[in-house]
Amino acid sequence: MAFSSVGTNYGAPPIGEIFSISPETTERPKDVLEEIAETARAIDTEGHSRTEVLQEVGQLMVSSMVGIQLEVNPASREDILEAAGKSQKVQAFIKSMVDPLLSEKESWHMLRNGFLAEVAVSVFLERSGFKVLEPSQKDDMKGKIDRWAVDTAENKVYAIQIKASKDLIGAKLSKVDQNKASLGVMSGYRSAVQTMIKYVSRRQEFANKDVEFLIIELGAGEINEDAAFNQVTGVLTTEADNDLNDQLYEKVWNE
Amino acid sequence: MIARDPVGKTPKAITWEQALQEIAKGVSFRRYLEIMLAVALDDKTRKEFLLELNSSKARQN
Repeated sequence: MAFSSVGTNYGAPPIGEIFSISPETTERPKDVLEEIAETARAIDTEGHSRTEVLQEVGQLMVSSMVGIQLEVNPASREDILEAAGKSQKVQAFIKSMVDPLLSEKESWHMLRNGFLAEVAVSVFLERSGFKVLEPSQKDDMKGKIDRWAVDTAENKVYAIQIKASKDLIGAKLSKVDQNKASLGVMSGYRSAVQTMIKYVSRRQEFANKDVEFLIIELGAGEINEDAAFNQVTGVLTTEADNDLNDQLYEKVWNE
Repeated sequence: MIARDPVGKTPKAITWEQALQEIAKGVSFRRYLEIMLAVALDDKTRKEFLLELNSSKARQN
């Protein structure tokens, strides 16, 4: 059964249009982006560890870009382009803060893929009726939790891990099944899922909560033809959006 | 519901004077970053901020 009425792009064509937005479409004069970078370089991070700065900056980028997307009227091309322009400015700011903190093995593109995947999942879940919450630093570092989603109607909490890679294709949602030895997830994800389950089970604040665990995988990257989200806005492609919507219905709502 | 911040906070416009005042009062690191991002996103505020920053550097030298 299709569940298109809950789809995030129902009744409007623009998600396809959003996906056609590239850094070139929204290119800003170089001096504007340079000024934004200069503003970011003026930030004083003294007294904060590298991990803390990266974590806070990542949350800031995701939260800002989700906010920008949630205010877009999907039927207005003007709105969509304005949001893409703002998103590009946010990325210029965050890149300027992150660049000096990266090791030789890390790259902005790699980190950005992770942040944008979190934007994509958060916007999708918010538009599907969930209340999406940020993980605390502990949730993130110790519990490996990337997002919380609350289904207020069912009084259920979902702890979510988000995987983004250039080697992945499209969008895939897996619900953890604690009755199976495999946990119902790929072997490569099992250890991180066990960490998430242990973390939640040991914390008093979740003692009386109905918590389920999800893994959402998204294809990412500028040269990945099967990428699930736009590299400027973080919005899901129409296909990924429909796929995730069907999987949400089959694996989460129709259990 | 669990006690966590909601995701999806759009950067709200702020003047450079308001930004300075709020930072001077003492804010969390996250709020400080939010204020600076809001400053950076607004063309007028950003220009005023950079002018102020450069004149402050010039005064120090």
